[in-house]
Amino acid sequence: MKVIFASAIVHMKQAIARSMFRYCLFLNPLCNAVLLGLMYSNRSNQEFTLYAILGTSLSSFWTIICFSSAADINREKYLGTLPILFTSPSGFKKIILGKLLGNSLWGVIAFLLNVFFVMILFGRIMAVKIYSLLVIVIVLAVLTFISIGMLMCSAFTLSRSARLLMNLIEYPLLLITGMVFPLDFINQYIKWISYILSPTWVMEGFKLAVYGGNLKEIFIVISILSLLTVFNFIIAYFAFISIEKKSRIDATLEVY
Amino acid sequence: MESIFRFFRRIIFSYKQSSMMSDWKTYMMFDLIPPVSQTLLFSLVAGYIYGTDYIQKWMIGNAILIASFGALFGVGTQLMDEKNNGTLSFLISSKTKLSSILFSSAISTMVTSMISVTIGVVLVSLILRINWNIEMISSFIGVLFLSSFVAMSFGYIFSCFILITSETNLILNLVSRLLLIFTGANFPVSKLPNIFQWFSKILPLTRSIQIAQGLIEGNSLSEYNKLIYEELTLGFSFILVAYILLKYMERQSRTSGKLEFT
Repeated sequence: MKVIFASAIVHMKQAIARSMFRYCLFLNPLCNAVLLGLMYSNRSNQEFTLYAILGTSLSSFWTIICFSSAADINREKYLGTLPILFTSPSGFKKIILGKLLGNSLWGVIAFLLNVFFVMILFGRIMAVKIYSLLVIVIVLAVLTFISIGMLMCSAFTLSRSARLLMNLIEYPLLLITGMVFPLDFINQYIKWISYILSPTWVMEGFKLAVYGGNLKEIFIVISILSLLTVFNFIIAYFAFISIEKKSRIDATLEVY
Repeated sequence: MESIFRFFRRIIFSYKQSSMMSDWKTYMMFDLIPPVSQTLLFSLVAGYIYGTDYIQKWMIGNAILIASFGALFGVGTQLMDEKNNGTLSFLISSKTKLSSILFSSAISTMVTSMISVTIGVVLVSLILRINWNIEMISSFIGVLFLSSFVAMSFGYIFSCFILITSETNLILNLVSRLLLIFTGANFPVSKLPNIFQWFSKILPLTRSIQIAQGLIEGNSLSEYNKLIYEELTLGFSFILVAYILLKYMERQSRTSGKLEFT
């Protein structure tokens, strides 16, 4: 645990020192808040809360996780420190988990800043019916984004196109998880893909928190979200084991 | 005559450097899928908010805007690539003017960006089941030339910044966000407070988007002559400002000698 927290603290300090990260943390949520806030300004309080406040904030969170996960691996590779992380006594998995924890904590700050910007700029309050559910879903969202980050890091470790991949996945995920508009609006077949992605269920959780729902609905959403998060962690764990083995055999970690 | 041939040779070299022929995977992953998905995302959000009957109008505004990002980033980051590859100081000290090197590759970027938007618009139209007629296609090509030109000239200004700062990427990202908000691609400019409405008028693409949205609503291109002239004037003004800035920053980078450090 000490390694994970130490890695998270060092990573958070390093991240905030970079101007592009500060842009993702402060300016991106502000721009998202203005854009989606103005688009949803004439809609009902519930819709405004769900998409302009919570959905937009979640998308700012996603941007931080998406760009950081890929860029961190890419940076280590570029600086030639990736093989050192692999051979360190603490282990690659723990160090990366610490980095993702750091990114996620910054992501939560981006999320809260986004909520704050929308509410201040548009003078609207959050129309939430079940606040306790909102808090639970936000905590699960942090965990699920860490698990997705782990999956992405494992994929980006072997790929030499990490920078391209992070650009590739940012908008498609926003598109199919219904973060900024309802899923009813997209093709039925694509919806099936949406349902196996945990951010979709984070949005479902937010929807129940805003509009209210019965215990059964809440239980289903929280269970699916938790299951998908655990599933992501398990896949990421096995992916890391196979990547560690492959990297040692191929010895191409420094090939940039 | 030789200088004219050289100018066109540079356009071809620059095109080959970034064309899909040389690296189709990068082209797909960087120049095609992200802009198409971004156009689709904002079109669907706008379609949901304003109604599906108007989805074409918002799709075209976003397509124009996001295509122009290609020209903006392409031109804006040209000198950054030279700097990363360690060739910027050679360019500064070569006999050919930096502005003419930059301008020739800017034209190539504009062409590449137009190819991307054409593929992108076809794909998005197929996904959203949007129909086009011949008249709309020809008018759209005209607007596409106009918007790519003004975006390229705007990017030309930002490309100069690499000579004095290493934050060009950040500046370009911020500018692209501002364009998403203030050009009327996603909501009517009238929704903005008065002072920001004025700001949107001095931004590139606001008029191109207005024209493109008008064409989708069934108006003819000739109704927008005034806006076309204004957009062209804006484009040429950006080139003039960029030319002066480039001269100044080139001199600054020579005198400070910090070209490789910033």
